Amino acid sequence: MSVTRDDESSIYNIGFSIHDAFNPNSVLIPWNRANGITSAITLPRNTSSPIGGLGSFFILDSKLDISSEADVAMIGRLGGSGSSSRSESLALIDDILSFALSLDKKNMSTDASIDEIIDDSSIASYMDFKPRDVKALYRLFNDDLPIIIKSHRASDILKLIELKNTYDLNLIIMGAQEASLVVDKIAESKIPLIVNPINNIPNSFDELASNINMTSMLEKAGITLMFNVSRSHNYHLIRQGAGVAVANGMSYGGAIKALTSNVAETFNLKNRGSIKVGNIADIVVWEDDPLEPSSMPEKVIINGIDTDLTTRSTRLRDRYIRDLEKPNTYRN
Amino acid sequence: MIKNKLLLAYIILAFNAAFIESANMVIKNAEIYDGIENNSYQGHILIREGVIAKISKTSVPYADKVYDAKGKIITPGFIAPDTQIGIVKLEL
Repeated sequence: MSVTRDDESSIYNIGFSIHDAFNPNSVLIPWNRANGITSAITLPRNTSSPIGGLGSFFILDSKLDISSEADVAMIGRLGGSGSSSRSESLALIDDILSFALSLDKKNMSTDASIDEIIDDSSIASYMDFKPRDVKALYRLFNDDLPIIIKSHRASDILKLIELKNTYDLNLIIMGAQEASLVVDKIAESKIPLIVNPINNIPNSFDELASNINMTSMLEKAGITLMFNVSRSHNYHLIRQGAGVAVANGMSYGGAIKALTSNVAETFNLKNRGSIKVGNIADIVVWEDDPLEPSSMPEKVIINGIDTDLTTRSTRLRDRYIRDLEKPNTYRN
Repeated sequence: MIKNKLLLAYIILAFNAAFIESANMVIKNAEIYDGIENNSYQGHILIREGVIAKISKTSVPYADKVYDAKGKIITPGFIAPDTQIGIVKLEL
């Protein structure tokens, strides 16, 4: 089967946007919507640069007329996968941010003038930046664009806090499996975290301090939390993660915020993420406890519209429970 | 002639009013976790033109459609902050 990889680019890195490749007819969308996920931030796979790629926000209503906000966050990584050098990555991130900070005083009115800026910068030339990469970097400091850095090790988290303070970054740390070792520093820096509460087994040497009580400790320290799952089609399992977090000491209301308003506020998603007058009506009616994976939504309202909860799975189920008098081939 | 025009205007207004009303819905008797407060509360939510128009803890607001959520929990739609939804066909 021929498929494209729409989450990566061999030409662009920092300014690589996945927004225009989004497929609202993806079968994953009804599946996650029927499990209570009404919107999502879609991120590109990391590029070769330690900072690279822009994620966008999408409403999961399966309409071809897509409701979205393009390029709401930049993505990056630091630490332990593959053969990359941590010391090289740190130096590169520092150099790229320093270049980005210098853009404020530059003429960026045309692609030709941006090409001149690239030619004048050794790091931009070495990284083979294109104008769209430079425009994305400009937004880091001039639009306060959030930047998500994936990192786990406690010492790396401390380095990222230093970078946030040096450059006044709108930084979010994703992963953060050793956050419990540096709780006070993270709380002081006010960096929001995206964590997987189920991950209590180290998947790498960067995650040796993983523990199941981490979300509870982070919440008590006043850190803004959001949840993710291991890369999978089942993004709705963030509510299972939230349930595990509550079972291990996090407050129930705090877990609901981690799934809703904390994401909206962190990524500046206007009028979404909470039930209050004037907000867009993205509302789920649950048959029972939403943090229990076997509990399903009865109604999922997106942009005020009662959405269809049929999925490929329910159609397949129904095919085998209807028209039982007919042979399989003749059932629809 | 004027009488007929007035009648036509009345019919158009009535049609528009019915159309607007049909876009309204109230979810009543729900246990609401609003994503703001830590605790839930009992209430009724009026949705009008895609927006949360009213939240009442006492009387049920009027709407064309009423959904009784007694015994159910209501939350904001969940937002997944780290996905590849819509851009990856197969997880490789």
